[in-house]
Amino acid sequence: MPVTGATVELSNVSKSYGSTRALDGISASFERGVTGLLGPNGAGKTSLLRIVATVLAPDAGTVRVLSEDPAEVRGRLSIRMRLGYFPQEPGCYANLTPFDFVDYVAILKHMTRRRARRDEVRRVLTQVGLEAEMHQRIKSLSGGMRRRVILAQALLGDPELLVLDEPASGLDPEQRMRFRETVSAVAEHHTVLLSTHQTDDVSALCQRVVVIDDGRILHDETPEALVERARGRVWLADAADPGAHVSWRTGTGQHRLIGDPPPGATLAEPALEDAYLLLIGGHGREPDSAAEDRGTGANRWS
Amino acid sequence: MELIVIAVVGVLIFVRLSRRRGADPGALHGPVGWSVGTDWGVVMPLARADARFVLTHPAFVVGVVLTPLMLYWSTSTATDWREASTGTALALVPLGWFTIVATNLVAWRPRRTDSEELFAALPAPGPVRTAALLAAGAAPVIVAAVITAGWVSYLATKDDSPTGSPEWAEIAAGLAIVAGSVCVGVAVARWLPSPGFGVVAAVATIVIQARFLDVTTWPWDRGEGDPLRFLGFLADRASVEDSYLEIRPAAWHLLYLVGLVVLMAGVALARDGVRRQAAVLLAFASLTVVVAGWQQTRPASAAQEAEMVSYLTDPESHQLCEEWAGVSYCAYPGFVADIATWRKAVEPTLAMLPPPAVDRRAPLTVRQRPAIIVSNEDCVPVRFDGSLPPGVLERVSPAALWPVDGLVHPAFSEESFPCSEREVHGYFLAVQTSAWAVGLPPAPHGDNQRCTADGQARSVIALWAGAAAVPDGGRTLGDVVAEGSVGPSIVFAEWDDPPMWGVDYAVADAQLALTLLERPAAEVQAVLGRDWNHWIDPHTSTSELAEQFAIERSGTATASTCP
Repeated sequence: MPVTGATVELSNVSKSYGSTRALDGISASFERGVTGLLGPNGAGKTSLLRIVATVLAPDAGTVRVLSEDPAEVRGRLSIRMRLGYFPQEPGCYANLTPFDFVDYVAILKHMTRRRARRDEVRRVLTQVGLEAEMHQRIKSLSGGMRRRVILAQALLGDPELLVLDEPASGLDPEQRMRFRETVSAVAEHHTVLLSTHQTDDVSALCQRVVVIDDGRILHDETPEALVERARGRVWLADAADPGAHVSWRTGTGQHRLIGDPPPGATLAEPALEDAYLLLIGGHGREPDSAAEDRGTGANRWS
Repeated sequence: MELIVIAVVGVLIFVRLSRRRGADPGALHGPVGWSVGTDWGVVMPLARADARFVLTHPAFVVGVVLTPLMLYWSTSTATDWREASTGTALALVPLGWFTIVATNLVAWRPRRTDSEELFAALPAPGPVRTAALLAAGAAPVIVAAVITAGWVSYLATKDDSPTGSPEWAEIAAGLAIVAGSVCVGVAVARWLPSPGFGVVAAVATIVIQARFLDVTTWPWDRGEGDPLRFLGFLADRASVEDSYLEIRPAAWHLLYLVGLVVLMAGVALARDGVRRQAAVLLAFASLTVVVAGWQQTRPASAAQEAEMVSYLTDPESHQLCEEWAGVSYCAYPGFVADIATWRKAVEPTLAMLPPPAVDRRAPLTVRQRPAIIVSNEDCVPVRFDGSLPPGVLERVSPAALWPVDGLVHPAFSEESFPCSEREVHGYFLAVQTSAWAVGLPPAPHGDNQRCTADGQARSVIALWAGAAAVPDGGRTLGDVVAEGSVGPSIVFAEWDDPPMWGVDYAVADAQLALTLLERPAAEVQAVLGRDWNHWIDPHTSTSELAEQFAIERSGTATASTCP
């Protein structure tokens, strides 16, 4: 049941693309702090975030974001004024500099006072570590830097809700540390929804983790609680065990196995990744992800 | 063919739009359109940013680079500001085409760069974004204005600057077309579901202008003087070559264009719904288009038409005359400055002839009158009277317009080779003058009627004297023989702007004149002066003239219809 006063409240939200059901009656609420969304490709994470970001309309269910109804024009406008959004496959104007691009987005965010806007643009570009590159053309920047440009625009105006769809892909370790710093700083006062495949990012950043698969929420609690579910189900052995859900050979030459251990197995300390793999059955499903991508088309709020 | 093309394009557009509408409407929450509390203060900062995108767009840059070339091409031969002003506006039309493409693609940019989803989550409403794009159109217009101002300054200060003064309403029509192009580009991007429609729109404007709004072309085929042509985006000047004879409501036409510009802006804004602002804009624009369109296309008043008829059939009442060296030169008020040019052809020609040539005739009058066949903007020959306003055309006959009066008649524009900048130094007027001196009709009359004087010595003398009197006359006569001959006569059948000669001279006579030009002029003058009356007698043959100068030539058959 939705929690009153939450930043985002979803109740029985469903979304389909043709015969493919992307979301199947999801109910959840998200409050201040970082909530990580984990799930295999095509699980419904992106559809969920697009609905929260007001660019996609659900087929059924109710949505409230920042106490506004995105189905109404005024509500949608109000949400967008207070929202920072990092889409899954963000494009940008590659001929512009990061400064000019983020400045353009700032105008579209109703930041009309030139000096204040430019100060804000400098602030967010500095926050993502692009102070040295802010006047180079975007097309000359690396993929990781481009993603930081997109992250910078999402941070404009200190948004109350930050929706990030796989923002850390392509970032090098140093950039990821910086990314964690940035997101955790925002989350001190605001709500961050973070979709990612990087379980270590979730461990490092999130107060809460939601695992989605096949359009349904499989798990919704703290990362620590999720890890606890795997306790006693991760072990080390000299050889692979066909009974394990997942196993791989580690750098020490031993095998790390997840599943139901045999008697006398050497148990290992579980990690979030182990718990996640255990939860989704140890297989990374590759369903019709293209169907979810179709959400960029017709069924969109704009 | 054009209808088929337009129909196919229309079907394609319809199919595309139908597909767009075919999406499940029940699941759509439409775009954020007009909403209470919209912050219109976003428009100007956004417009400044969009203006940068338009100005740096390759399509617009190409248009800007082409514009000076177009200005040169369309105004380099203009002798007066009326022509130069309309030429300047015409030169901005290609910039308009490129502006349509540039603004259309700028409006499509979010989708083309895969940033549409990101931009969709931003709060600026659709009407604000559209209004910003439209406001960004000020930048291309300013660029066009700066280029135009530079060119007008150049024309005004160059050595052979056009006569008169710039007609600003005509020039501003070109700027209005650039502004309209911005609105078309944005409107097409807002309504049609593919960037390719920007190019289609540019082509469509050309087709609409050339095939439907220009009433002189298919399917209307109306006269150039028909004021309905002002419904076109840019109306060509009629070929009457005199602004007095053309009702050209430049200010109303400019207002009409402004109305169309605003109308297209309203169409673009209406994509987000016809709310109060868009409705007011559309209503205001429609009213402006209707009122200005009606004002500029209504027929001339009876008084205006009567004045024009008098202007043409009673030139003495309207022209200003000056007397120089015993010759009376009469020109319409807008052409008095041309008298100096006429004198440069007439006076040397008279000087080339022996004294009896002038002394024994009545004083010469050089009176301006329109050419019977004139060249239109596309270098196509058209009848002068066909370019008159319909009400005037009904009241004048060729016989009244071009009576037989035996006078020398320079036209409204300097005669030249067809659509050529080749300088003839007044040769055609010089031959008119010498024809007058030898008793031949100087100019055609009625329905472009000319006589023949084949084999008459006087026709050779007329061609020789004109050629001997002006610079490069021999070369010009040679070119005329080469380019104007059809069979044995020089009839200018292929010329779009034939010279005002009253005689279809024989090629053989022209060749004899060319041979005479090889002799010293004094020698020819001496022979002619000894018995002038004999040489200009219609019965004196070219063979006799050739014998006099010991020129061997085969006999020329005489076939004269000249008096």
